[in-house]
Amino acid sequence: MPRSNTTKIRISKEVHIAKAVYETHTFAADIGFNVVKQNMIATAVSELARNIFVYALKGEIIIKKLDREGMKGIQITAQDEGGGIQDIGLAMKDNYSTGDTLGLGLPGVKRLMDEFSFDDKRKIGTKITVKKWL
Amino acid sequence: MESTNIISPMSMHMSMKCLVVSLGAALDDQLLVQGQKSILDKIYVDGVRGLIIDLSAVPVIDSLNMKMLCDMASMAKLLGATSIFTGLRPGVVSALIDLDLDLGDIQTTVTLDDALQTLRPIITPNIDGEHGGEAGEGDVPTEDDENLKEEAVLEEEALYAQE
Repeated sequence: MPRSNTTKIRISKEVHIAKAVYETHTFAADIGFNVVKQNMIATAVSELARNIFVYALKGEIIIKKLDREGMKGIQITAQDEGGGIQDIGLAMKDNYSTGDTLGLGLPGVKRLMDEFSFDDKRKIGTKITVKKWL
Repeated sequence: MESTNIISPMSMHMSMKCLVVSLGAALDDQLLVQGQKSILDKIYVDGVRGLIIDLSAVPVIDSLNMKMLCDMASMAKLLGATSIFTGLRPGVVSALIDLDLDLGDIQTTVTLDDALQTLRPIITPNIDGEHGGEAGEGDVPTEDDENLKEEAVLEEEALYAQE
């Protein structure tokens, strides 16, 4: 049964990505998402965690259970103290990349989840919050 | 059948000229890089014609993992092996589409059986003098080939007998 409603995973090594993915699976299953949706949410987390690892080197993923007026869901926050995203408009375009990876995968993450928000008031680093409702 | 002793979340089996690679639970970059190397080595050394990558145990494939897998298929192609991905899960497939990846022209099947069926003309040596798929095109059969064919036919019959 439900353990805590929030968990925080520090990302500073590659294995932490797998850990974040695993935790997400457990959380999503706990909330009641079906297997297909669990996999989709976990993929989004994998993308976010990878961005932290590749671009900011370290940061954290916070997974939280949501319960708003009977609506259940999952919220994932990815935050880091890295260089930040200079142009979020550009980063949200498909197939755009500054690093040597495939791009930030943010448009994909947005499509995988129901809600996507980027904290543009933040001066240092990046903070992205995504939600998916059951 | 033989298996190679590389890191555990991945296992390889050879059957005829086909290499079946099963990937276990969580993919990580190191495993994929290492696996890529072993697989390419094996294709080169053993003359593998068909490569089947079984992803039925993999719950999450992110964009980088998928790119590495697609790259591996392209490399295998350059070495003369046709690759097929098999057993992709529905959640993985939905995610891959949402991620909008360029999957190139990868071939996929739902089951391992389908994959083997698809590769059959390539991995089984030519029988009845017919050229099987891409494998035999442009080849002029020599005496050695004929001998090999006979051996292969016997081998295949033995396999069926076992079933």
